[in-house]
Amino acid sequence: MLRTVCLAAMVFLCGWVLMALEMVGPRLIERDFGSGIYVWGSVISVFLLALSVGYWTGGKASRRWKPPWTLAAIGFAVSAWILLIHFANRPVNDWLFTHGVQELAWSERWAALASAFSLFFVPSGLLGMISPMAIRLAASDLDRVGESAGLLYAVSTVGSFLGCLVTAFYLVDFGLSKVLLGHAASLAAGSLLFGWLCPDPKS
Amino acid sequence: MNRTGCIPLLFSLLVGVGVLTPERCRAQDRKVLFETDGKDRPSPYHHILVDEIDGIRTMRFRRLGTDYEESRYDTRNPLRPVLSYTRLFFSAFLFHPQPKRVLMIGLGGGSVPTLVRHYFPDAVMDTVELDPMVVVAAMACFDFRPDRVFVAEEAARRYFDTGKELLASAGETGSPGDRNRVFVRDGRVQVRLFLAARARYDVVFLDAFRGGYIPFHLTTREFLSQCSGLLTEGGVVALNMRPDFKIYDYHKRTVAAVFPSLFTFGQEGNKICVALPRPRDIPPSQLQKTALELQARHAFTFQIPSLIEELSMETDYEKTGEIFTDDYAPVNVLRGIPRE
Repeated sequence: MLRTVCLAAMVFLCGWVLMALEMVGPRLIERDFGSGIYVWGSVISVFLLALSVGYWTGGKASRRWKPPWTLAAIGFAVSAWILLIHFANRPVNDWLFTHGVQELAWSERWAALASAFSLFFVPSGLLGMISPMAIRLAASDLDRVGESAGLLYAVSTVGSFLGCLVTAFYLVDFGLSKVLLGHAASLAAGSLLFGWLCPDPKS
Repeated sequence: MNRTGCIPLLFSLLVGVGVLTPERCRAQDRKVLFETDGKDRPSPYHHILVDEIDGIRTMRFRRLGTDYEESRYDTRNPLRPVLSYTRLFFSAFLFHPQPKRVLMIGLGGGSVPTLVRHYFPDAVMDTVELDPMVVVAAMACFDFRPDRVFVAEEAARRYFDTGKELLASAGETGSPGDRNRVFVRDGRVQVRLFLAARARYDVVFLDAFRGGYIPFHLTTREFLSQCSGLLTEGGVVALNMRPDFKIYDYHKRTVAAVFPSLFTFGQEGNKICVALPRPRDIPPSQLQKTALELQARHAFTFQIPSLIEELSMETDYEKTGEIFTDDYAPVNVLRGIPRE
């Protein structure tokens, strides 16, 4: 029971962070590559591709790495990457502008896609790994694996729903740096708590 | 609700709308000259509408059920600046009376570029416009005649094709002088490219609106610094600002954070803020002198000296508070909060 609660909390947090990042993403890119629709298109498509890679990798990984700390480690990695986004988004976008748009005369839609890819592919891919790994941890027997999957997907998607709405409606007005730093801190704290509290399936 | 109940309700709604909208009352003398739609004439960014009432053409952007006036044009007197802010924009030339290169961000109907070209025929006039269909509408309905239109995106070129028949008699002049150029691109991206190409301007007009508000990335300290970097020695930036919402205080504080000297023109409606990158104390008497000289030299159809009556040096915004940065620009919230 405790394990299910911990897993549900973890996928909720990861679902929230995923969509919060997706809401902040276009704002980080718009200031350098304009506010065209292609900015949203780039960010959303990068997230979807990364999730698909993440699901697959997470499924593979769930066969080898079963202890809960692996999920916590992924949470820490994402948290670190969010810090990286905070500090490196300016230089990355400047580089893409100078070398892409300016020197190679790229259209800004490709520059926006390159920016979205370099900033967001890794964290959203890592977050995509969470669900299949959490389902593996939650499943106690084959008969109930669908039930566990359904529960975790539902909770994770509610997290995404809230993360999306709250970030877009309220958090973004505190400034993008605060949103990024706040989510990095919350995810690190949540992962720590999860790694500490979640019981190992073998025990 | 059943069908029979639905029809009278719909009918009364339609009649109600008809009574409430002033334009509908005079539907007989209102002609719609241009309207974007989702099919044959799409715009990627706006619902653009150009209509003509009593010889006055108006470009409107429809957003959330409101038609925001962007530009007006008098067919009987094309040189008359119909909207007050078009006239007020010329106060920028009080600070730089002999412009050689002028930049405008946000085309609208092209009233300002057309007038600048007319009164300063030797100056280069560059305009940046995001929406290709705004360029099409300005060329088709507002007699805007660029020498050349640069389209950065192949996709944007397709929009020009949808307006082909409108542009048949109103295309680019192709004049080799290339003094009236339009760049179809996001303002911020183009400004950065101008900076990289070391292009410099004597006057930069900022007039990019998307139906009542300015997109956030064109309000921030970082963007205004980039604009400041485009100025020649003695160059100025002139901004079109709406004073009726909270966003005005934030925006003006941001302008003041980048430009130490501000001169604000306009008593009612939109204000034009002329911003100077170096602190300069210019007495109204000197502006008056420049105004008279400009009027004598270029014979404006509107009175340049009378612009000075609309100058206010008082602080008309809350001086302390946050400013817009790339990190923090809640434009979407502030544009909905009235100031008083």
